[in-house]
Amino acid sequence: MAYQILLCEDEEFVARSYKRKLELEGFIVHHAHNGQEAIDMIFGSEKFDLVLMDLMMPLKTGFEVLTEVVDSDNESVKKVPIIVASNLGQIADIEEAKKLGAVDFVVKSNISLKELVLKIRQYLPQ
Amino acid sequence: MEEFSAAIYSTKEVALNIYEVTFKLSTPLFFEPGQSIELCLSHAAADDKRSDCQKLPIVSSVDSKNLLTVVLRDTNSSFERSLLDLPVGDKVLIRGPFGIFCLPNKPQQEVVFIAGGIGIASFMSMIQVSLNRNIKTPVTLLYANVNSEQALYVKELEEIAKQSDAFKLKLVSGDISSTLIKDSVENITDKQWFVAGASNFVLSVLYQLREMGVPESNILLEEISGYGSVMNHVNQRVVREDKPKQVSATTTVTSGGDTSNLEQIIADMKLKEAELENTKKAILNILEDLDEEKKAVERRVEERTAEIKREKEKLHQVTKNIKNGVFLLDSEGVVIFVNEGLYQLLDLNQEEILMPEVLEEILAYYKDTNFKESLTRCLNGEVFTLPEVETQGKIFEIFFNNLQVKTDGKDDVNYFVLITDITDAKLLERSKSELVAVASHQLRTPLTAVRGNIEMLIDESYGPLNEQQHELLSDVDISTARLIGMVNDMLDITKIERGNLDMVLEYVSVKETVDSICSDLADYAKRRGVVIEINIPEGINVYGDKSRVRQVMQNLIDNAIKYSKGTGVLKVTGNVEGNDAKINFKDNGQGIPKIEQSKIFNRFYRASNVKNNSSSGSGLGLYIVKSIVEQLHGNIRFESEENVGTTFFVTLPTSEQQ
Repeated sequence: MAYQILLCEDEEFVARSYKRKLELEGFIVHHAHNGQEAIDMIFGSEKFDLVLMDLMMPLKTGFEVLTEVVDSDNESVKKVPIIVASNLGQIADIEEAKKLGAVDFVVKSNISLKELVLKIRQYLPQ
Repeated sequence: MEEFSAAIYSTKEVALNIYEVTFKLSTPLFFEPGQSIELCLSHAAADDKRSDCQKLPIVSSVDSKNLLTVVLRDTNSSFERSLLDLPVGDKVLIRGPFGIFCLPNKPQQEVVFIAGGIGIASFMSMIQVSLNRNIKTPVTLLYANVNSEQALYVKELEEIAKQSDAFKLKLVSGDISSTLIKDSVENITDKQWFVAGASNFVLSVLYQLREMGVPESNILLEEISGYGSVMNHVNQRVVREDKPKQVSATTTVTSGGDTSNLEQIIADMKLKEAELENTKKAILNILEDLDEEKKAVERRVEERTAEIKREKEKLHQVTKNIKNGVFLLDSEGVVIFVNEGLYQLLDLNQEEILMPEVLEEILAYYKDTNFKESLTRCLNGEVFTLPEVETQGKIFEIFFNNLQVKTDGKDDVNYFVLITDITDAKLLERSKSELVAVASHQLRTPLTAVRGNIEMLIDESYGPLNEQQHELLSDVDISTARLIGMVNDMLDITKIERGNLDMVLEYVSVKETVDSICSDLADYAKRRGVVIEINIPEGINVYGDKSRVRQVMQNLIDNAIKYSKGTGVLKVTGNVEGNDAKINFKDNGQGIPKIEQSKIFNRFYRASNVKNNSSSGSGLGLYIVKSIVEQLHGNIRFESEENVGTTFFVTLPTSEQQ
């Protein structure tokens, strides 16, 4: 069974690039274009194996999405690993994200797709 | 000394404390205003107490009633009180006038009396006394310069000579010259000479007699001064040089024979005159010098005062016009100086708030900051700067210092606070940082897409590439990586400037870090013909931020590859010394020109030899490396020779700093 990945990314070109790579790796990629959509999909009927999420998104930021997940009672949703992929890279951002339950944090421009895939595989259920 | 008795006739106050006292003389005598007498109170005369005698100037000629008037100023002395209290008719004694009172009783020796002006009064007195004593000495009177009043004496003398054959009187009038003397007197040298008159007259006659060979012992002198207003003389208390030059008439006359005496007097006088002249000149010179000196001192004082004034004004203008606020406290913490800038800086009203209260206002202004504590530290002797004090919508830099003030050898401490408004500069700096941060962040996003897509093309996810396609895409990939590197550098610079180069400190394996970097850069090194030799023992850890430590090493290794000479060797070695890990990066590349070596850690600085080559670089790398190493409490240095190679020596702590 192919892994279900939710990609939350408002930047069209970045999203398309990531989607292509992840699909080349054999994942099934779902795409949320903003924070609100991400919430809707995370708490929706579809179950994901991993969420790859930007921080600066319209409607709701990645931090807000993380907060809602952390604060929810939905245990199955809370189990889904969330990797933050942002171009914000301050220690404070990283620590905040991790505090809100993100399993890892990558700075998008500073990581190759190969490295990104390695990271994702690291958190996927075996 | 001749004494005559007299009786108080009248006493009259003629001016405040000035009395004219008139006596009736028992013997007719001829006194003139200008001469003086010594008056002794009769009760004292018996005991001859000099303290009860006083010399008094004569203000009127003795008239036909034998009345003599003297003047005295009442200074409330016992003599004056006694005299003024004497009832009319009381007896007093009179001595004088001083000088020649009586002709010598030597009829065989003729007397020549030379009188000038008032000197004729002395002659008149002498004749009177001599007549009373029945002395018959032939006398010749030579007189000169008598005024109309004194001419009356001459008439009277002629009368006396006519009526009395007691002595022979011969009168000769005219300028007293040696010719006149020789024409009038025979056997000059045998005669007894009396000279009376004003000092210059007496002196001039004396010279002439000396020239003519008259022995000194044969001359008696009386100098009389005191012409002009008697009242003036009274006030000056100098009316007459009473004593003749020689002790007294009688003694001198009888002593006789010693001719050296006169010459001695003349010589003495000349000497004294010369001395006086010299003294006068010396005094004048001294006075002149003193005057010069005084003027010079005054000039210097004026110049110095003007200079101080100028300096003060300069200082005032400077402190007034500088935009900084300055104030000084004395050792007691009391404000002793505030410049105008401070008032303007803190929007204080200079007219209303005077110096003593200004400190309160300053403290009130900075109440939300640590200003007060800082001032206390300053007063305790600390010197420091608060780089950014934010209050009331402004940002200040505040410098606290103490000044050792030396005045008159006294050591004094003043405390000096310099406040600079850096609001504009800080806001500009902040907005610049903000701009760079936002711009850099925004640049990263499209670069992410570029990077990802190139990566997929190069790894042939979408089909095989021919050699040219691969090469072209590799170039784009490297350029993109550089671009991303530059963006990251700019963000780091911004962080360094803001002082928030954030770090998570942990133990970082040196070998693992270097291995990882070299593995990532293996392709690049291979293309550049650089062989990397790593000799780092396992287990060397440094205490720092993992990504920052990596950034430092990556930068140095990347540089070594980038600036190789086509082919080369990079040796990375490591060891531990004490609490420090030493990591060296030794290449045999292009090297850094000697004259530029001091600048390579500067921002945006790129050595000329690499700048001229095509290799790209922002000139920020080593600046960031140094900033990171220093923030990790380490240090970095290098040795380099152009065209030989460069070695960077990095020291990083192996454990948490104390």
